[in-house]
Amino acid sequence: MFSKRMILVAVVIGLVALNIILLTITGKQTQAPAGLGRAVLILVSPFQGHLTAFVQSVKDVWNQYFFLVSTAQENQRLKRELGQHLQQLNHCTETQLANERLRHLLGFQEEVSRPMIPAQVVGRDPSPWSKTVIVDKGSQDGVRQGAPVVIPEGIVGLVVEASGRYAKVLLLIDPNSAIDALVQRTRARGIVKGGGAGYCVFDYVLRKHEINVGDTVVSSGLDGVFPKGLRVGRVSEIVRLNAGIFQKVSVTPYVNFEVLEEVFIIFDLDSEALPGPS
Amino acid sequence: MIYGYHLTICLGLVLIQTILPVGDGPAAPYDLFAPFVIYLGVYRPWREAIPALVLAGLAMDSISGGVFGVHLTAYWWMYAGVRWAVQFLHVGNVILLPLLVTIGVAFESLVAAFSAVILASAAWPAEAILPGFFLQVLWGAVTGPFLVLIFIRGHKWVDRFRKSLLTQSAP
Repeated sequence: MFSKRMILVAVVIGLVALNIILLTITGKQTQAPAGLGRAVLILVSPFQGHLTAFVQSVKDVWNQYFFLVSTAQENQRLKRELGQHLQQLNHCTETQLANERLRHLLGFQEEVSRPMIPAQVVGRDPSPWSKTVIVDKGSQDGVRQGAPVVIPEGIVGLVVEASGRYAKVLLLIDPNSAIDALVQRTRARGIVKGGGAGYCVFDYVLRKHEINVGDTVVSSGLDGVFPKGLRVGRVSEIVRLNAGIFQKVSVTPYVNFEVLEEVFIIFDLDSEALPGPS
Repeated sequence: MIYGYHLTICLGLVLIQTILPVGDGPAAPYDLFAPFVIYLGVYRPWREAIPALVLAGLAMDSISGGVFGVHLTAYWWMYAGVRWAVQFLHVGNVILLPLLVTIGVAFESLVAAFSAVILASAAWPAEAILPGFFLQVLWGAVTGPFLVLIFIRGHKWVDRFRKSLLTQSAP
């Protein structure tokens, strides 16, 4: 009734359909099934750690001993910037003192600083379609899934998977990332999502809010993951459409993901497994 | 010994694509496993190729933050396609092999892009996909065939080494 060829084509179509269904199911999860992700991290990451350290040391030798052409100009520029920053620091100190007095007067609870642990980036995502890095701190160091990852410049991302000594961090620029954020100047609220190609989009910002290019976007703390006030990025583009209640805002992250080497992982205060002294 | 060779290649390709600290994306301009799968499909029997394919796919899926299973899917169907093509094409020659590698890289990139746009829990903006896709195919077309040649050369070397060991151990 059916030729051999037709049966073969039907089997292939069936397999492709089954494959797509399975991928759709796994696509809704952030972790690899059955601990496979952790197992591969345990196997591969030690090699990554050593090789990255080796490549980094070669890079350091080149940068610190051979590539010094622009160092003198950079030194002059940095000295000028240092002077400006000292003035700014003095101004900030004054503001901080005033802020503390006012907080005390208003009976605000003193903000508790959360413990952090430094980690080194040892691996990058092999696929251009997802933005993750692997860091050399894992569950043995107290790192848990969902822990925020930051550097002094701003938010890096959050931990999506942790094995014994290594963890996978989903970067802010990945489309799967989302942070509840607000514009520092106007307090306009929205959700910052990764745009994929080195930028972010600031969604759900009402059109009535006045936002300018260059405004700083910070975390609102309302998502329960990132502490309030961490820098996310700078508004780089605003499109106010004629229709709709929201405006389209693009944000350039403050973190330079191209040169990301060391990060801080913030612990949850409720975490039972904070790292002990070692 | 050939399984050891394939295992070493898998580990090496994973490390090359993830360790080098350059740029915000992956270290390699395209998935270097695509030429490896072509090599397996054209030159190796299925009993040697399948374990390497599964290992490579699982390793890449586990390390990558994308949809789990997408690399395994791409490698599997690429391998099946190559096995089908070798039945009536002499793909080992100097023209068809680079063409096959280019098609392989394009297919792998398309599957990964499809998963990022359609299947992921948060989709990539489509306009961010196209430039990356064309860049990958270009890089794959230029460098992929050389990688296949390196895999072939490595395999020949492993074969010679194994034969010399057997000769030495023979009475």
